[in-house]
Amino acid sequence: MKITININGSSCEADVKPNTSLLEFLREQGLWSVKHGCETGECGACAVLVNGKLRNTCIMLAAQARAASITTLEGIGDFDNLHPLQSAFVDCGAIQCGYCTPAMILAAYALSKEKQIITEEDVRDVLAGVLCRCTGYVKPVQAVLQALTTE
Amino acid sequence: MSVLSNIEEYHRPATLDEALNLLRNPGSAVLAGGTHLFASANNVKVVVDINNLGLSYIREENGPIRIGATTSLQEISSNEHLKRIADGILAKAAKETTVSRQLRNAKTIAGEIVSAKPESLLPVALLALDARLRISDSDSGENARTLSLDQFYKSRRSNAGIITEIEIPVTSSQTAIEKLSIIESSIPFISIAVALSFDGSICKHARVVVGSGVSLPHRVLLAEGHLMGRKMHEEAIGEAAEMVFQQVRCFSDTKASAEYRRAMSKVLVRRALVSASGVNANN
Repeated sequence: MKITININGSSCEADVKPNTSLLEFLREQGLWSVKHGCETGECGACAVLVNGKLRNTCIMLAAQARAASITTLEGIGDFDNLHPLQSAFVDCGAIQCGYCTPAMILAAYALSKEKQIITEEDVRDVLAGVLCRCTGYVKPVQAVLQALTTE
Repeated sequence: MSVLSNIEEYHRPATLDEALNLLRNPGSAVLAGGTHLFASANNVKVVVDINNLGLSYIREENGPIRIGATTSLQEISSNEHLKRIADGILAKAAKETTVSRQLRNAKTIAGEIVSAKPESLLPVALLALDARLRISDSDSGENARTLSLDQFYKSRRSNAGIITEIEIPVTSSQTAIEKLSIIESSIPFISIAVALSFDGSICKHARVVVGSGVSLPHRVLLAEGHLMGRKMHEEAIGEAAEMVFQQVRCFSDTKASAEYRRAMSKVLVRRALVSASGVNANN
């Protein structure tokens, strides 16, 4: 089926099969920040923003994103022009293996659009659904607080 | 092989009638948040996405609170009005169903009701508040029938139709919700919700609901009846908790035995009743 979808600010048309997951579709577009993890909606590595809301894309069909706006990590910063959240993750040593990092940054980015004043509790709340087996969350929480409270 | 690979058709109807017609297809199922439908293997071939039917809302206009079927758990948990009504039991239940923000963004109130998984605390809270469901099926069309959530579970969740709205009667109940799990984010062994209202010091209305460790969440009428018409004190609370212990039929799995769940139901009922009624009780 044909869908129109806005990805990181550019509208595109695609022909998707009814059983293609949004995760698979986005990776096929070369958006490799979207990580393939558990496929059951548990780990959060594949999370992106769908109309501004964080969603796990492994348990969504590409067809469901018809007419939606998708934001992936590629849409908020790149190597030469890092988003303050990305810089803070680097500065704080909040990245180890890196597999959960894109989803964590998007979770924090969505939070920054949702609230003016951000507390540590808010940060922990949005990061809780992204499983990280390396960092123990202390440094990611620090990084998000540093980025979102000094911006 | 992905769980999604069996899917042959995807539809996003714009009207309820269209959705009901599509559901006549063999192998069809309703898609709302997808966290249950797409998380385990099934034989669904035709997916009917109901997110375009305008069923995401929380309203209160002279009377009951009305929550649209596809309202997300995140919207429920962050709604200022729901945080206050009946000690915020619905907002709390929505929040505590999962620690994952993105799953709360996806999960819907009706999806949680229909799947009634052990991690879903909303059905338990909604039973305590005497919630009612509006259900449309191909016979009733737009003329939805209304059914109490209690009856819905007793009638073994018939697959016919689509839940369109959840209606919660006006309430000034004092409530509590309790769950027991290994860590905050793991699936509860047992969960309990209670709702009480008082005339002076006499309990005039009581709901005691068990969920998570049982096949479907349900009320414990004997315990409710025991509390109504009485003063709440430690003894009445202890007796009601004992009644739940006697009545509840839990299941065993690798995480906990039926006996353990049952024993804990008594502890949690006691805790919930103490908390909701404000009775001073030791332990």
